[in-house]
Order: sequence, then C-alpha cells, then structure tokens
Amino acid sequence: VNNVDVDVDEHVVEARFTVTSNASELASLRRSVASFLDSAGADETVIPDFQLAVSELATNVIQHSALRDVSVLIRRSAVGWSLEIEGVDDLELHAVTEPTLPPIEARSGRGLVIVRSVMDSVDIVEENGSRFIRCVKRIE
Amino acid sequence: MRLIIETDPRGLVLSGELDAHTAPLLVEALNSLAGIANIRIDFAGVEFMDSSGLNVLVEAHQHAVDSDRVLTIEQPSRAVHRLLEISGLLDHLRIDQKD
Repeated sequence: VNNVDVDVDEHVVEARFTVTSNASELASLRRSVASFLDSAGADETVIPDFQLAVSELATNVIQHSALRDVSVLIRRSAVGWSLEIEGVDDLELHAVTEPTLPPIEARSGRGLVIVRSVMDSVDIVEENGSRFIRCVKRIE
Repeated sequence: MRLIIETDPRGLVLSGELDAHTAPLLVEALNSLAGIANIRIDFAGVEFMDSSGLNVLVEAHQHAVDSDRVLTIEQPSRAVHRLLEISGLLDHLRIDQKD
C-alpha cells in the first residue's frame, strides 16, 4: 500500500492510500486505513466501520471499474472522519441515493446499503471534473 | 491474517478475514461438503467479513434449502453478527449463537 499522510492544518489530517486494483490488496488496504485512523485518534467504533466501508467500496471499484489502482482518501476534520473514493460504478452510485436492501435471497447488492448503515452520510460529489463517493462519520 | 479454513466432521471452522479475495476459498470448501446433511460453519474466529462473505452464505443457505439440508452459522463474532444484522439476514439464515 502506498500512502501519504498530510497534516493540512492543525485541525485537519489526511492520508491517501493507493493499491493495485486487485482483491488480494483488500486486506492490506484495510489494515493501513485502520493503522492511520488509530494513529490519528479514532476510537474503536470508528475504525471497524471505516474498514468495512473501505472494503465494500474498494471491492466495487475492483470488480466494476477499469481503473488500475484503487485510491482512498481518509480525512479527520472538525466535522468528523471522512472517506473518499473514485471509480464506483454508475449502478452503485444510484444505490447511494436510493439505498434499499435487495431481496433477502439476493446474492449481491448489499455493499452500499452496508456502507450507508455504518456512516452518517454517503454522497456523490463532483469536484474539479471528477466524481467520487464521500462518506462521513461525524464526531459526536 | 488471511482466511484459514479447517474441516471437521461437522463442517468448517473459519478464522481470519472474509472478503472478495478470500470468499472463493469458502465456496470451494463448501462444495467439498456436498454429502453432509447438516453443515455447521464456526465463525467465532472471523475477525472481518464484508458483503462478499454474506453473498457466499446466502447462496450456500439457498443451496442447502433446495437440497433439504441445513446450514448453520455457529458463534458469529461480534463483527460478523453486526453485519448480519445490518443486512437483515439474522432471521433468514440459521444462526447458533451460544451465550
């Protein structure tokens, strides 16, 4: 995992994690994100939720996009903890805005509903010509 | 840690992490149990699972129902139990959670 930690200012710390778009990288990506969150002061409720969200979203990119790499930005700000990821496919983006669990016997389609369940907000963001998903878990 | 799958006469004992990379290993292990009527999968040692693991469980459960067999998830760890709850699968899958 390639990662860059940046102290943007005294209130904002962020790190970008980049792995090859391959499912074999998921575990190390989760571990790297957890390590950063721990070092940045996240509590024990935040870390597993981010690991789950990162795993779901990165899997989506790996399985449905043509990107060679998966890049995840984790940020701590005054608002809370956030996660940004590009490359999530259009079908899943629809699920972001209208999240519903699939039929109980469905063998796919739960990923983004799970992400929504563990985050306070999940939005599609368009900035500077790129589109990505931003998830936020607010600091209580 | 990756996913470790041990087999015993009652089924499978899992430990590690279940995601898109390791889920095919569980599929393969379940296929090897085709002759067992009551399959039990011990999840106590599964520290992480995402929807890739859920999808395998849903499919395996349906296969079991279709062939008059029973698939039981034993002792799901806290992380696994929470994921089953979020996904609305606690009442769909057969789960044996001892206190």
